[in-house]
Amino acid sequence: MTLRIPNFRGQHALVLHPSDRNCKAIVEQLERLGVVVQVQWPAEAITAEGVDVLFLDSDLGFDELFSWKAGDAVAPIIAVLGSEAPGRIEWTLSHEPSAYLLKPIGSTGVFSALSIAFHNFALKRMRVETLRRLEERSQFHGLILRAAAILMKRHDIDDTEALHLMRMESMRRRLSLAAVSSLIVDGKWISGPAGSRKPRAGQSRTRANSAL
Amino acid sequence: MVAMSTHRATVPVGVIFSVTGSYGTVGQEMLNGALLALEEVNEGAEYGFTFEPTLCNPGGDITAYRTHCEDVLRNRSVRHILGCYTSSSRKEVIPAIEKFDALLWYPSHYEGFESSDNVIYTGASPNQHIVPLLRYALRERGTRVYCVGSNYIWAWENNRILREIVQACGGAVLAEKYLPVGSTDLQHFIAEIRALRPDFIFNTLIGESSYAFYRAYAQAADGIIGPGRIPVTSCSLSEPELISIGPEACGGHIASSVYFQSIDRASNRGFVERYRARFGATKVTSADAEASYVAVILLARAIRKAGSTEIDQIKKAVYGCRFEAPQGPVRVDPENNHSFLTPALGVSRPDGQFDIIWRSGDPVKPDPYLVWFDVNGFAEETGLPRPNGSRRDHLKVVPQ
Repeated sequence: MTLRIPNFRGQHALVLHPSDRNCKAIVEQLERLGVVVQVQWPAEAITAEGVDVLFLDSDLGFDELFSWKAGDAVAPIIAVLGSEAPGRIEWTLSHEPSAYLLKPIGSTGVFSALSIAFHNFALKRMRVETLRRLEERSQFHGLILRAAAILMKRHDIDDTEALHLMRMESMRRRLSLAAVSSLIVDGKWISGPAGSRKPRAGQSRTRANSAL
Repeated sequence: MVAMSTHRATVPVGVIFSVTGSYGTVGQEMLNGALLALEEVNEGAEYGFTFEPTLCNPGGDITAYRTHCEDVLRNRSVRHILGCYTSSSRKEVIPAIEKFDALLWYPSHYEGFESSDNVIYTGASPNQHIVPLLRYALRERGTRVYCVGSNYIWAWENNRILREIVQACGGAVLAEKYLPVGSTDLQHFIAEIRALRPDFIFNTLIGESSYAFYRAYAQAADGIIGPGRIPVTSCSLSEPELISIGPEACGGHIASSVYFQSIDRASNRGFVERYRARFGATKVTSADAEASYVAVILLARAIRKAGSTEIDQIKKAVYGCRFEAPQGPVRVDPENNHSFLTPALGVSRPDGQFDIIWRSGDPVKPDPYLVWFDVNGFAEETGLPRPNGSRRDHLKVVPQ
C-alpha cells in the first residue's frame, strides 16, 4: 500500500453519541480535519446512507441502533469507550469496530483513529472478498478436477492445457469455471481444444497447443 | 478606582528553552525573543501587569523538559508556559500541560499533524513552510531530491510530505538519510550527493549537525556539487545559524521562513533595533526569536483583553487579537490554535543575511493537517512534470 497523507476532507461522519463534552471534542476534531459531521442521539435502525464512518458510544449502544446485523456495518465503526465493563466491551466487539477512542476525549486521537479505521475496514473488505472466492473455489474444486480429467483423456492433453481450455470457454460463455466444469461433466460441452468446434479425428497435440 | 493604582498584578510564566546542548543556538534565540517581549510588557505602561518568568534550561535533554514543566506548573502556580523547539520536546510536555489544564505557547515552525486545545502555535505549519519551498524548488531546480535530516519526527514527517509531493510531480527522492541529533559524522553524505547529483538537497538536520553539514558541503564544492551547483534547501535555517556556520560556508542556501531580518517593514526595523539594543549591536534576529516575541506579546494582549489568566478566557481573547508583528500581521486561527503567518523564501548571503526572493502577498491560514492541500492540484499548478534537463540557472532577487 502506498503511503498517502491521510486526508479526510469531505468525508461524512455520523456520530451516534449524546451531545456532551466528549461528543463536542470529537466533533471539533472532525471539523478541523474538514470532515462533514452529523450527530444523532437518540437513534434507532439507522441505515447510514451516504455515511463514510461511524462514531459509536459504546457505553449506550444497543443492537437496534442499526438496520444491519452485528458485524455487517456498511462503513467503518469507531467505538468510543468509556466503561470498561466486560459486557460493554463484548457488545462493542460484536459490532467489529475498525478503531476505538477512549474517553475522556481530549484534543488528539481522532486523526489516528480515522486513519486506522479506514485502513482496517478496507483490509477487512478485501479479506472477506478473498475468503469468498477461496470458499467458492474449494467448493467446486472436485467438480473442476473431474471436468479437467475428462478433457485430458478426450484430447490427450495435460492438466495445464485442460484448465486453459476451460478458462477460455468460461470467458467466451461468460460463465464461472465451476459452471463450465459442470457442463463438461454433464456431457453438455464436448467441443475440442481449438474452441467450440467438435474435435476432428486424429487431431494432433501440436494443433491443440497452437490454439492455446 | 484602579486607574491611579501603582500596584501591578504579577503573572507567573514558565520559559523553557535549551540554551545549551546541540540546538542551543536556536534556544538562545527563542529565549532572547521572549525576554525582549517580557521586558517590553513589564516596562510599558500599557499592560498594567508584570510577567514573572521562571527560566528553565533543559540543555537539550528530552526528559528534563517534562521535569521543568511539571515543576513550574506544580510549584510556581504557572498557567502559561513559553517553550520548546523540537517536536519531541513539545510532545514530552503536552501531557503535563493538558493534565494541569495550562497553555503552552509554542514558538517554532514544526511538521504539523497536531492541534492541542492546550497549545497556541506561533511558528509556521507545513503549508506555510515546506509547501512554498517545494513549489519553488521543484519548479526552478528540478524534481530529483536528496534528503538528509536529524533522526526524529521533524525530519521524518517533512520527508514524508516531501516524498508525496515529489512523487505527484513525477520526481524522485534519491535518498533519505538520517543522523542522530548532535552527530556530525556526515562525510559519506557528501560523497553520496556527488555520486547521485540531485537537483537539490532538502536538509532537515538541526543544530550542530546542520552547521557541520553546510561547512562540509561548501568545503567539498567543485564543478559538480556545492551551493552554487546543487542548492541546499531548508525550512529552518536562520540568521544566527548562518553566523554559526561561518562566512565561508553560509552563502547560497535556500530557506523557507515566515521571518527574515531583511524584511523591510517598520515593525521589523523597530524589532531589530530593540533586539540589538538589548543583546548587542552585532546580534541578528531570526524566525525563532520573532515567534517567541510574538507569542509573549499575544499572551500579554490576551491577558489585557480578558482581564484574566484563565486559559479558556485567554484563548477566547487571543482569537480576537490582530497584531502587527515584525513579519507583518499575525493572528491565531480559532479553528486550530495555529497562526496566520506570511511565508517567504530567502537565499543566504556570506554576510549572514538573506535576500528575499519571494514573499506571500497575504498572511496564509494555517493548515496543520494539510487538510486543504491538494497534492495533484499542486503538481498541476507547478506545471510539472517538466521536460527533462531544462533548468533555469540562477536565483533572481525580486522586490518584495
